[in-house]
Amino acid sequence: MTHAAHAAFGGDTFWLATALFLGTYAMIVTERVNRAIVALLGGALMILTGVLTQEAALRGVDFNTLGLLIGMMLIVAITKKCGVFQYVAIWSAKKVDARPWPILLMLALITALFSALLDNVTTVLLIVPVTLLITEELKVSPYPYLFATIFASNIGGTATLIGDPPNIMIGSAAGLSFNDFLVNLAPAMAVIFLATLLPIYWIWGRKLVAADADRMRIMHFNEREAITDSMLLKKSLFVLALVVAGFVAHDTLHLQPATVAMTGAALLLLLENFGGDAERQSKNVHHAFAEAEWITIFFFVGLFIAVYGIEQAGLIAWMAESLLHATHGDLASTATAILWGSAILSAFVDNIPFVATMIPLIKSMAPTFGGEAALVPLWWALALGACLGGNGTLIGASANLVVAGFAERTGAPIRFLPYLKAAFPLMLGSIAVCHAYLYWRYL
Amino acid sequence: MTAIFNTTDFAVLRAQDSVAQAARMLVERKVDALPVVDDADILLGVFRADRLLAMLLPRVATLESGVSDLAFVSDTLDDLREKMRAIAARPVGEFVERDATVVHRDTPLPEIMLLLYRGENDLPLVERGNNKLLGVVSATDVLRAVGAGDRR
Repeated sequence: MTHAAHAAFGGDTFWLATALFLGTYAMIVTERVNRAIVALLGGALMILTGVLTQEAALRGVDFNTLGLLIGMMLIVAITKKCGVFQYVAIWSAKKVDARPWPILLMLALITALFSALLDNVTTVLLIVPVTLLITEELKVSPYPYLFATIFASNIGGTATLIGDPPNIMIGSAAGLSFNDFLVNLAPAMAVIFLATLLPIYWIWGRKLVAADADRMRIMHFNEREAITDSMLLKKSLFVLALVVAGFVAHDTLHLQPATVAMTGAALLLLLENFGGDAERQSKNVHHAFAEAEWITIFFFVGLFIAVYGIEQAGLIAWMAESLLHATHGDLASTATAILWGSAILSAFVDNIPFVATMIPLIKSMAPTFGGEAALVPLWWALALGACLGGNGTLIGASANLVVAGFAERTGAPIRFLPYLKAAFPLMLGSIAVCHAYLYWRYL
Repeated sequence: MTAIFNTTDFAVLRAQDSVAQAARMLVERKVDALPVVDDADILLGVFRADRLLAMLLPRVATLESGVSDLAFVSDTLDDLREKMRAIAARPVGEFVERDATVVHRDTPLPEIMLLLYRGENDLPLVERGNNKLLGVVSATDVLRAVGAGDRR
């Protein structure tokens, strides 16, 4: 046991902070009260009970994560108004002559690419409606398409720093750049993406058939009509290109990703509104801000404070020590435990609070493994497990629930158990690939 | 007050009537909605013209946060006729809006006006307590009652 933990065990705050944190966690898992309310209350209680001062609590909030999330949310809120996502989906369906299996491949690829650059929930909100339209016109079951969409969004999101909130948090805390994620995680995701499509083809894809007349209906779709505002489209694509270039160069330019995303958001707001009258500007800006997911943002704020509370109280140090004890301080065993543990947990519980807890825990292992640089394989293990684990069940990631919600409302529901039967083994398979990848490259 | 209700010449559907019959009745009667009753004339709900339109549209277009427009879809009248044929024989019972807004004989006139203003045309008039259908009230009925169309 470390000195800090030892001192804390005897102190007042250790058990208090632990009880508050466990209470917060339990409330988040049971989902009886909105998670943003629970996290904010948990954070507030850490201050009110004296575990943290307000100044300390604010030090625990990772504003880089928040800035990156909000900046990207604003950019997406403006970009999606111009219809570009429908355009790309229809264009790709026509490129493959509206044949059912190639359409599934194209839509999965688009979902993965968009998810790598945008939030997963936003991506599926944009892709699923047009997917359902295409499957209805083709008179084929939407199920395999939606199943593939869920996997593609989580796999694509894992590939980059900005693709999934756990990666944003990990990148910010560990000082890993956009390119670090791209170089280290994207190749593994390409392999997993292709490997996932094989069983989807075997189970559903080879049986997908559409009549020529129905395919012709898709071929008659006019994707140009999907673009509702071509001027806004040009401005959005220009800013998105700048932002992606900014992410690629952020490490060289010594800029945090949040600065890149927030600057992009401000620039796009300016381009959208420059020259417009005051009332229109106010309406546009209000719309963009209203589209940001404030529940997620405030959830993060509360959670960061709650986790900082247990970190200051010594619980994180004690947990890290226990994990190291179990893995005998061996880096490979620790990475394996983190990879598989986070994958299985993330399939059933929200991966955001889990990753928020794991970050200080992994950081505190630096002395054992000889410095922060040695922790890199552990960060990749956490990112891979937490992001891909979300594929395992229908409740594993927010994007899954959004897809299931659409499926339910169109009368072709995705049920928990049938999904689990196909998805959980597939998720375990993807983690096995990650396991091999980690050993091959880092351990 | 009674003067605004149409209690004599109104069309009704039974749950087992077909969608084709319902569509024909909507067209012939030039109404937006038809009450659906059981054998004892108890109101089961309302069959609406816009529900019929929704059945002919791609399903995802009628969902909240579904596709926001269909400007790029080029379905023709023949495509829609084929969809209509596919649902023509199904019973209206499957498409009844069961929690439809109803009015009673004692519903205040401004409330009825407000419901009609909000777009709920052809409201069923039912007996309070047992939901027995007594008649209907439409925007036209109310306008006629307030004197619109009177020749002076």
